[in-house]
Amino acid sequence: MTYRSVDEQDAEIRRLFPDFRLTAHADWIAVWEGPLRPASKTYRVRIVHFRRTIFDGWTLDNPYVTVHVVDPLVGAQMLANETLLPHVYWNDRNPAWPALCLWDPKEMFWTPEMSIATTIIPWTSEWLLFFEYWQISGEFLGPGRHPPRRRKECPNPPETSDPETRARRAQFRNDEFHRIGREAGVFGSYLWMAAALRDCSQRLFSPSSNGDISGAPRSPVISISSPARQPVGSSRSVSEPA
Amino acid sequence: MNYSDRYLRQIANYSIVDVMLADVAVRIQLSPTDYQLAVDHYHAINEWLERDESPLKGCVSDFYPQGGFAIGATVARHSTDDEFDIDVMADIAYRLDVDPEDALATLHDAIRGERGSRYWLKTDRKTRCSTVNYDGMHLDVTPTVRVMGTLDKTGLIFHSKPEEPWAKKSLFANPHGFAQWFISQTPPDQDFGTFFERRSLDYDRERAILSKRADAAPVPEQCPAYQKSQAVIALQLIKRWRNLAYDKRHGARRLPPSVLLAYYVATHANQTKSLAEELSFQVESMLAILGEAHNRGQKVSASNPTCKDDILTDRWPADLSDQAVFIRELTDFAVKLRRLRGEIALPEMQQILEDLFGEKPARSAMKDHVQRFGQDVGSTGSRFMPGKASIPAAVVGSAAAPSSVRSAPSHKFFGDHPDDLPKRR
Repeated sequence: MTYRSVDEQDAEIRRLFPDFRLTAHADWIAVWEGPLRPASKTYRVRIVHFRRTIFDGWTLDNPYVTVHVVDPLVGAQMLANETLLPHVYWNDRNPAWPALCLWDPKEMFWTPEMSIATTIIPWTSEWLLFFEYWQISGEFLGPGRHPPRRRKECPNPPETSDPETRARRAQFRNDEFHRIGREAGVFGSYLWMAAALRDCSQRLFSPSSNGDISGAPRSPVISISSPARQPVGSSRSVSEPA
Repeated sequence: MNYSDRYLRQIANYSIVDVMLADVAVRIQLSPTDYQLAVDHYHAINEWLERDESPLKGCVSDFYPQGGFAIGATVARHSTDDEFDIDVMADIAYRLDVDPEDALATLHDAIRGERGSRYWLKTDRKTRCSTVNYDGMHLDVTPTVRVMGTLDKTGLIFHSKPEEPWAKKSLFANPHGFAQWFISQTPPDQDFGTFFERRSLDYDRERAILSKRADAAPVPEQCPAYQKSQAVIALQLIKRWRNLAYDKRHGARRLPPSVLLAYYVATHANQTKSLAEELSFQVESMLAILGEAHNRGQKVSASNPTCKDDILTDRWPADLSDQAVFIRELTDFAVKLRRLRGEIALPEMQQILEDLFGEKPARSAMKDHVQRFGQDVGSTGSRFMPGKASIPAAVVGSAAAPSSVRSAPSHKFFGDHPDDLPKRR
């Protein structure tokens, strides 16, 4: 089975969930937002999908798909009550903005061969129903488990003095920043492009969905494994090929 | 049991509020098992009255159910117990001019029997009936004398307290006619009737398994008495709400009578499309009638449509303050129902259901629903409706689902362990 393209995923999402909108799209990344109503209350969710995570010489550590609840922020009550939400990936920088943890990698691993419309979206609706009942009783009645937490450390790749490697990195940055720059609508010098990438990632991965990112918290939502060190001044959410 | 796709599509459209209200009703009604027990008690008393030593041997010409038992609207008396009142009429060949006290006392003696007999310690004398007390239910037997030349089963009933001999009287009544009229006004919608019957039997079966009673008779696959209309369920919920509201806040006041509530419900029955809508509509309709009378400075009055001399408001409201209290309570009920039908999350939904119908049935209905859904998610996978991925509450936990809903694969949730998460400063 081959990976579904973003267009294929989008077509199926629109067929089953016409109110969902593709809010950002590139060949390897797509973001949808839309309403879900598991019981009586409507929530707005955002789905970020990386169709590819392995690139030429570097790997994106993010899962293929990540779901956040945009409105209302499900982590907000957790902050107010000092209670910790079950079945989320904790977001250290913005606790009101955890990613939902919809499948157990020991049981199955979600890949882009699968349909977002018939797995991720209904699973999110399920999560929201269990979340609502958890607010009543403190019990999350959906099946699942919580393994002990293991903090992920950002890799700190060694500096290289090889001019060829440095040239490849520069070329990668240039290509990739331009691509995302087109998405973000910001173009400029190399340093501007780094800033553009940072802004773009904040816009995609922050609760604010109206484009106003001035108050948005900074969140390390993309992490990339690479044997090379990240460039000074660029977002910590990107690195480049060795 | 095989269900048609049309039926499954119909019930999949019920909202979660519709399903929660039905599930609360399932938990406050006389269960199918207890219903059968009540029928057995009813036949046993009938036979007991005809025993050789009975002062009424050969005099009981008819014995039939009335009230909530006759129309399928029996509900638990209070929030804290599962006690049910089963009402029956004993048509006795007294003379029409029988002394009311004699009529009531003779029936009471006939039921109680001789010292040491099975009902001796179980029978209480009331103002208009004798009550036989069983575990979990009370059988109220009301004596009546048939008045010939009137509509079927119209008769006299009797009111007497031994300590108030001056207040005794005979009254016209036709509870059988009222029940028939009520039933004709509230025919069940076939789909909802089937849904409610299945829900009632499933819950009864779960209770039987939990009670682990070896001698318990198996719950039947079908029980037509539980194919009820939305109006009947609305009446049961209104009666339950009334019982709780008066228990909590107006313990010294007489309850607005069930027969009056049934009269109003039947008058406005089945003009809506869902249970939640039906309940709201019934409450608003009652409020309009009572409010109109109250604004004119009058007490409401109503009579049995099959016997105009059978006055349903003869004991309530005693005065305008009784009426004002009920209007105030109904207004609050209507507001909460409007909120319940709005866009609210489960915590608020459960809170309103608890306020209106009691903690025990509301919590049980909600938890059972979410638990069943959790089992679906981990085993066969859940169902969802295209559009907003709404979960069709009526088919949660069911093997059958309509073609209009989609299935999601089963899976398990995962995530950081809450205990391992960093504490906030």
